Amino acid sequence: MLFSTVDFWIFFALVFPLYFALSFRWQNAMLLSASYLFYSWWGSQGYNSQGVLDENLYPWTNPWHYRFAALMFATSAFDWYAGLKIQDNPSARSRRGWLLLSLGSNLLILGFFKYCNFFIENTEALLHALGFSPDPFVIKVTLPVAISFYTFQSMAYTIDIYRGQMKPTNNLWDFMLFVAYFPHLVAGPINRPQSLLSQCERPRRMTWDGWRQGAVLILIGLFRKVVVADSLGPLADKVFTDPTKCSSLTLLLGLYCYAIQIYTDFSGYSDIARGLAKLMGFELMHNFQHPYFASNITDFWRRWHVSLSTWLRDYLYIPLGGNRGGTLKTYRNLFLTMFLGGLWHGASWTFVVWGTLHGVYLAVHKWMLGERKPDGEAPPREAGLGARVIFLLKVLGTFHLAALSWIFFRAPDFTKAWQFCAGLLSFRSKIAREAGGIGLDSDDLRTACFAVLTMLLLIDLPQYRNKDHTRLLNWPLALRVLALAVLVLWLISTRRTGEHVPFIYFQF
Amino acid sequence: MSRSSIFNFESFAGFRPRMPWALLGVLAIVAALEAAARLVPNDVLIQPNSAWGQLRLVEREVIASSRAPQIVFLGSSRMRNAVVPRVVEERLGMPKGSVVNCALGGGRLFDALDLYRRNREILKGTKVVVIGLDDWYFTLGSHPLGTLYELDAPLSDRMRLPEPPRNAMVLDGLLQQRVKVPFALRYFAHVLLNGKPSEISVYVDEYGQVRDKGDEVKALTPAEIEHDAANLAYHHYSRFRQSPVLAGHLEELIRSIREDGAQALLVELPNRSAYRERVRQDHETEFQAHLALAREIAQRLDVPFLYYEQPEDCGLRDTLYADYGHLKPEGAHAFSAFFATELGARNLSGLPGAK
Repeated sequence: MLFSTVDFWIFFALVFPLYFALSFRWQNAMLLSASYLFYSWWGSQGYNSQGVLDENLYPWTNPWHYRFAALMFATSAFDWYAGLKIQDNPSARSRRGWLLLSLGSNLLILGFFKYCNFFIENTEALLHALGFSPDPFVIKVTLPVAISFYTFQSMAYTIDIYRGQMKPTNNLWDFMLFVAYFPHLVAGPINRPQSLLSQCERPRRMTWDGWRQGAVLILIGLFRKVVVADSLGPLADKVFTDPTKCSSLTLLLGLYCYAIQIYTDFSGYSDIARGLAKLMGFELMHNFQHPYFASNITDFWRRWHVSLSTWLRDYLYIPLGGNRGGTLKTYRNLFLTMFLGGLWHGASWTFVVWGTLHGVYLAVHKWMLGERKPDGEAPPREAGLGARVIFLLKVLGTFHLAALSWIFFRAPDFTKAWQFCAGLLSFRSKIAREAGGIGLDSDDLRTACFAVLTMLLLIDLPQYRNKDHTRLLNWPLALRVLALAVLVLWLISTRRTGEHVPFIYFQF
Repeated sequence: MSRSSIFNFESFAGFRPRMPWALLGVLAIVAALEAAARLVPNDVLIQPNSAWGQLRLVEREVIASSRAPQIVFLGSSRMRNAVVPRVVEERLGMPKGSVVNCALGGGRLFDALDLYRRNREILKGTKVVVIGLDDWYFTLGSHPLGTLYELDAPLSDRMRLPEPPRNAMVLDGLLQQRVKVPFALRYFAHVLLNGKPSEISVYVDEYGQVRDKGDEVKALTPAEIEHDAANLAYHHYSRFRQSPVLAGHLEELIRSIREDGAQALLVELPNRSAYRERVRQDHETEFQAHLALAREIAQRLDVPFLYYEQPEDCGLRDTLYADYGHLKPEGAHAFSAFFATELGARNLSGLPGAK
């Protein structure tokens, strides 16, 4: 189920009143059932991993299918049991064994469903390159929705227990709820067990402020997704479909459109997830802290997909040695972490290149910094114009570095990615329509620009300056009413073309 | 509060609601805008240069000014550009105003059904309704369902659509059929961005044919023809999937026509050869699926289906086309004369024979 659909809001309208009428234990039971229903929705129809009906898909290849709900149930149950075994076992060797079993099972499942086809295709390509002609081996493996998210969440649980940072829960159902809780299930944030699991284990309290903040976050999230991201998506799609038919300016505009689309799409989803959770008395972690206002690439990664970047830092980068072990090892660890981070996003070499590129960026930045600590803070109010201009240039530079990497993230293959890069750098002028030239509709571009500007003025800039994601609620009443009215009216007036644009991160 | 072990509202312990002034303020603004928007007629608020605008123009200037129409043409811009009512009247010896071309630019089958339903009282005495089909008519993949669908389709129809576009159409139905604020805001935004309201680009000419001011009648170069054909073929067959909901609109239209005592006739006009070749090369399977569905409906409902594969089949040639499938005025005159003869030869419902 997708947050921007009528089906979801009917589901939530039934779940929410029931939730606050129930006692704590019954709340958990109801939420768990609702989460599995949410996960299995559309199980009888052929919906692909982006939530779009695909009549070529049979039900058993449906990534939302109840069979994959059973898989999530089984892996969750095993990880819960492994957590207990890790805690209870006096033998260090046994404890490590159980940890490896838990990690191994999660990585095996993730590896099979996500990378099996990738492995087969690349092996075949390699054999062909070496002059062999193997018989085609076809195995159609469907990627279950949310598998990348819930496996990481489960692994964090067993690792934290092993490290002695937390005790396991004796309640299987609380653990199941921690994994499957529907607001964050399909696209994060990847919450830490010490935060979310403890909330599942104790009664929640409804507060008026929680409801206010939750409602505003949902509104902001829907605005980001429905108004901004969905208006930019078709523009970006046009350009990435055939970069050779676009002028360099069109390519640049298309790239900007995608860069903003992926941010607003994903952060919009995260906002809605956090808002829904707040309505129910849960606190989910922030996932985005205005990454495009970062003044350097290290700061960018403190602000972009925070739940994943901190997960990679705590469970991959630091265990590899982090920055302890000399300069070369630090660069190696950075590089490896980002390489695997890229691979996490999908079974494609373009994602690997994207991750590797960021690894290079981070390594170069680390080298430039030397012993200094990276600082991403904006200059204080009393700073001079020069300092502000320099900061702005750094922000623009960081944005463009990130944007360039999005070429590889978005392009369907290397050919298109190289065509895009070549087109950008060639200063190609406009190609005539009769020759198949692709341009961006000026009305659509103008509408999208206004939407982005409104989002900046009403949402992003106030949040960034005050480090408060619901800063809107602290404005004077008249201004607050006006701002909320603008968001609401724009949201209800946005034309839905019928081409429903799924959340980008659902495909991961 | 309930003291049961299951329901006890314990989450609300300590809950202190406050007056939601901001929410009330927003609702007040929306209510005020809604009240203001309801004072403005739809013909002003809803973009004139749209399917709605065209529909209203056809209703005001074609149907209302007709004289007991005997033959009605429905369909998309291809049908709109292909049939000159006065030529058909002259060929069949029928009085002026007895043949009307109500085809709408971008019009789908729902648009034709909607137009027919809205003007049923006037169109009831019709003898023949000619429904033009296009190869993208039954697929949800390419074109959006259109303004008229967004405005007028019942919720039950929208719920039967698959995802997408079900979600969008249901939301639009819930909003646009009940509140006028979205239209008012879009109107305002258009005026703000363009400095003036949108103007309809179509008009009715002296032959009773609806024409688009933007129609360019210039010779296309071979490269332009090829590009146009490839572009449209790609666009029409993109994410091709035929929907029973769309086919259902055609069936409902045919039934309505029958109930009113008229005869329905399905026609698929030929496209320019460059388009046809491109479709044959890249999308033959999908095209055959479209034809099969059209034939199946025609057979089941016992309706004649005239499929013209090539321009030569109906007295046309490639040079009479302005683009991939729209005829130039001289092409329209040629086709109208041919089709009038066809209608006369079929002796449908006692129509006069061709001269």
